[in-house]
Amino acid sequence: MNTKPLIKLWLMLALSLTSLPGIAQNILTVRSAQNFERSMTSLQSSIETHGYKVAHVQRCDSGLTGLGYETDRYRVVFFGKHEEVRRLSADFPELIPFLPLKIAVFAEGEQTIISSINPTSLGEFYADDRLRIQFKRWENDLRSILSDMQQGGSAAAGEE
Amino acid sequence: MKIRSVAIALIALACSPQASAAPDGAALYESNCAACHQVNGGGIGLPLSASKLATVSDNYIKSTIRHGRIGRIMPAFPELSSAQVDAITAYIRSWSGVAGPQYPDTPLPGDRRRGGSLFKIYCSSCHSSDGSGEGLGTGVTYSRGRSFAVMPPAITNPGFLASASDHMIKRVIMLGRPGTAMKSFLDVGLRDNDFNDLVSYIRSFEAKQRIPSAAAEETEKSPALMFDSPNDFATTIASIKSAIEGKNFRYLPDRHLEKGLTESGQVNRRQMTIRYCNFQQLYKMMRVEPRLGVGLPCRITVIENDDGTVQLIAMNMRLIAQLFNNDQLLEFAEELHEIQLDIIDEALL
Ligand code: HEC
Ligand code: HEC
Repeated sequence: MNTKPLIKLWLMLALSLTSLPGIAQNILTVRSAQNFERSMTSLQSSIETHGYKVAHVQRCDSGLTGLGYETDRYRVVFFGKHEEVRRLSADFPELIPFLPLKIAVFAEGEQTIISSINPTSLGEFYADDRLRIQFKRWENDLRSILSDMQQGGSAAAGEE
Repeated sequence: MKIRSVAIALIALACSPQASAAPDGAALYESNCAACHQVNGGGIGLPLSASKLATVSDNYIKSTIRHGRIGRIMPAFPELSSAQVDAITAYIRSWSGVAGPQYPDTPLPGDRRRGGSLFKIYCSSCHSSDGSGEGLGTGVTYSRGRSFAVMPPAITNPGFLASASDHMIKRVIMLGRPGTAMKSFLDVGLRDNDFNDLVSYIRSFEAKQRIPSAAAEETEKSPALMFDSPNDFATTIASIKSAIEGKNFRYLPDRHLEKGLTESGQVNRRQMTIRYCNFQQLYKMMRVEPRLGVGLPCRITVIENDDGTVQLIAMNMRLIAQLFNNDQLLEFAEELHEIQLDIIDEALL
């Protein structure tokens, strides 16, 4: 009897139908109960678990406190798949300003806020159908990564 | 046999409480609202505190979810079903355990002009003379110092005006919002007709509302600005840099677009990103919109195509800024957009 995988599939389907989070959000944002350092670690491992490579992390913090922010912990994580970036930047140079993908991470007290542009919102500006599918795929990955963060970090972070 | 077990599993699923019961308000709140309002209604935005809940109706909460606050960060949630909106509202309501007040929908009669004079005396110091709120940001905005624990909101906001009934607005002015600078104006000594006049005045903001899409329509719809360079790859890069310096901006080390995604020997060397920055400008924007980092606007990429032509590509900031639902960001984005175009113009001379 191998009904188990099937049941699992149905369960996943049923769940994905009932738990659709708010669509049409242009900026996807989640709050992680982990502090900034732990969030950075688990974000990077979640990104890699989803098959992307972290290209670099840009610090955007020097001088933030001088402007009245209570935190100076602000980073932007750039990530992508080499083959994808190469192919898309050649076929659609107008995508380049959004490549590689980015997630902004900033501390709010002991918690961390993690945000990203919803690729599907960008997709509305592009006419090509192939891009629609690409944007949707990115959206799914980003939502999954952000949901890892919301749940307090991915498995890898749990090992710490 | 196989099919039958699946059918049974499906029936079991349909009967299990998770799958069939009313939508789970707590889970919906968690996925749609908590990123800003935290798990308990604190966090970004106006606090959803017990004392506030005691003065707002369920209809107000539901309508706020539907409309959001245009230009004030909170998005609208048109895609949630009524059952889902009801569930979220009931969940928020459960924090105080007390049923919300109900207000009649009837308009209050009042003298709008007199209300305007009262507004100037009692309200404009915080909500500004045109009702558009005070200072940068809205409510409680991220981790930065504020002149108020909770920033006075824009009471001209279409989302607010569409959601709040006259009677509710009157109640808010009478009782204030404990724990914030919004005090009780009953205690200040205002009287019933004063409140009615103030409400009439606040209602009159509705007529003056600008149409937010007017600006959007003018904006070039392409998310990328692309230009052909008359020069070769290296010269184009050099002239962008000198144009950046000419604007008193600083540039960061160049980066190939693919850098970090593969071994350095494999990187496409004909795509170079020039990142520049005027920290003051950037931070002005970050103050009103900390999520700005998701876009990192100040980048120009130079590419050399197979036929030897060279192009320059940058983000269309005016368009992208609109995704943030934050009016205060738009002005800054406009400034930066102009600067970006100037740099490009000069580099292409
Ligand atoms: C991206 C951030 C964000 C999200 C997500 C969000 N809100 Fe808000 N919310 C805000 C901000 C900011 C304000 C204050 C807006 C203003 O200044 O007018 C606000 C205001 C409100 C108000 C009005 C409070 C008052 O004092 O009148 C209610 C009610 C509310 N939000 C409920 C919700 C609910 C319920 C959800 C989820 C369905 C939600 N919000 C999602 C940011 C957000
Ligand atoms: C000292 C500053 C201050 C003054 C003066 C003040 N307010 Fe407020 N007001 C606030 C703050 C802060 C809030 C947000 C409180 C909250 O919702 O948590 C607020 C909220 C409100 C709201 C609810 C808006 C919303 O989105 O929920 C209304 C309506 C309002 N004020 C009207 C008035 C009127 C009318 C007056 C003059 C009679 C006035 N206020 C005077 C600070 C002030």
